[in-house]
Amino acid sequence: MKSSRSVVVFSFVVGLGALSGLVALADSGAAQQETFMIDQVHSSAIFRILHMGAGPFYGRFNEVGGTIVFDGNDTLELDVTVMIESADTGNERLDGHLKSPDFFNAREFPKMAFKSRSAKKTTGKMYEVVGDLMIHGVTKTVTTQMEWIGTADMGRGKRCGFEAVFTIKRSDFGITMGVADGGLGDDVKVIVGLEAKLQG
Amino acid sequence: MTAKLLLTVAGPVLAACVVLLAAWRPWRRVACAANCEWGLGVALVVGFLLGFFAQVGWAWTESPARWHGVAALALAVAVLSVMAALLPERSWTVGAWGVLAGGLGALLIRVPDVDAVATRAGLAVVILLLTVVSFPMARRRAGAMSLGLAVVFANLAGLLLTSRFAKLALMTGTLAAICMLAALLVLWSPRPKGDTSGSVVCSALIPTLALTGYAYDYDTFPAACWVLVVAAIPAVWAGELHALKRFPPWVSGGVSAVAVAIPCAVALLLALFAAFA
Repeated sequence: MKSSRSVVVFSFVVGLGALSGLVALADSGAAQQETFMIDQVHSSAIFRILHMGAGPFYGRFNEVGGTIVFDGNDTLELDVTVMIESADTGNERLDGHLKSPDFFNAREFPKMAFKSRSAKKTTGKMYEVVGDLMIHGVTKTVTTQMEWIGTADMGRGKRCGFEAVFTIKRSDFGITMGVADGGLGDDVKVIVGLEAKLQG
Repeated sequence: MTAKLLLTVAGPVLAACVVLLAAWRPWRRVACAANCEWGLGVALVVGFLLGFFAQVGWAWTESPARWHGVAALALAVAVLSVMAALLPERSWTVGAWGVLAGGLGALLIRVPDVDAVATRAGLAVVILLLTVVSFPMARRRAGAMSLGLAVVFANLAGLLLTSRFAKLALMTGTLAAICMLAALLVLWSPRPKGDTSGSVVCSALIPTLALTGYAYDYDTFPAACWVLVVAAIPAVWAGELHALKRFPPWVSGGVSAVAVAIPCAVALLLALFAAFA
């Protein structure tokens, strides 16, 4: 009788120890920072600008790269680059004009970049990210709301996804073509969709 | 669009016209002394800079875009052109102005991929040669020279537009309009007989603008198009053929303009074909 009680107590202690070990392990896993590489194929930056005071004109940049450091919780660090040469409006002549010194000046400034300085989880899956946005050789601090879309591993590596929607004034970055006469709007709505794969 | 053209082209051309009228005073029907020859150079730079500021804004020195350095070059050659027009002429002065203009061009050009010493030296030599070729012609026949330069600038603007550099194309188009205006003023009045300042400014700006256009877009059409337009300037001497001596000045002026226009038109057609065909 005494021996069976000892077995029960021993089992309880071992079980409790194992459980607390598992909880600790799980806890440390959730807080672990991981570095993800942005998947160029499944990421994009889309922009919308007012054309001739009436039309919502859309275009995109196809080459978006960089890294995301994320722990599934409070830590979020972004280092994103967008290649100007990948500008795509569906019209080759227009793409060429976007890359010219009239607009992005791709020969001198071949990439746009965003590097976060701080990120704060606001509600649920929303983050407020403050960082330096460099376009056309001009760097400005911007604040954007970023949504964590999800994290998943479907057998081809762990992935995380984010989306940011924000508006910038292109004249702040020295891109003024068409602003004065209203041919092209000054405000540019930007939608950035990022999918990133766990490094290593 | 209309407002933009008024601001970037019509306004600068109007300001340049005021400068030309002040320098030349063409309503006086007698030939002016050599000291009125500063007009075209200053008018061109005033028009160019006003167009530049209308496009780029007044905070251009803060801009990291390298091609904005062309404004500094325009300002520097304006000073040089006034000196060339007002200082007494010696046998060596034309070469000296050419060397100085070439030096300024080589020093102040700030477009991508021209940091190589050979490129800058090449630009300096081209500016020197153009100054030596155009300066005497500008002294002899201001009208023919202005008309020839108007043709060159107009075609250069066309090339820049084809290479999708609309801002610089508009500024270059402004220069074409100012040269055309100068040619018309000379046609209307015998004052001045010559204007050397314009030749110094144009000798520096034309190859610099062509090199700038090429530096930002060497894919759309062959580099030979830029070269042809720059090389067209000496063709202005065609109006000085001996066979044309017995004809009125407007005939030789017309021959000069046609001689300049042929290589320019070939360049523009080649560029348009390469870009759109």
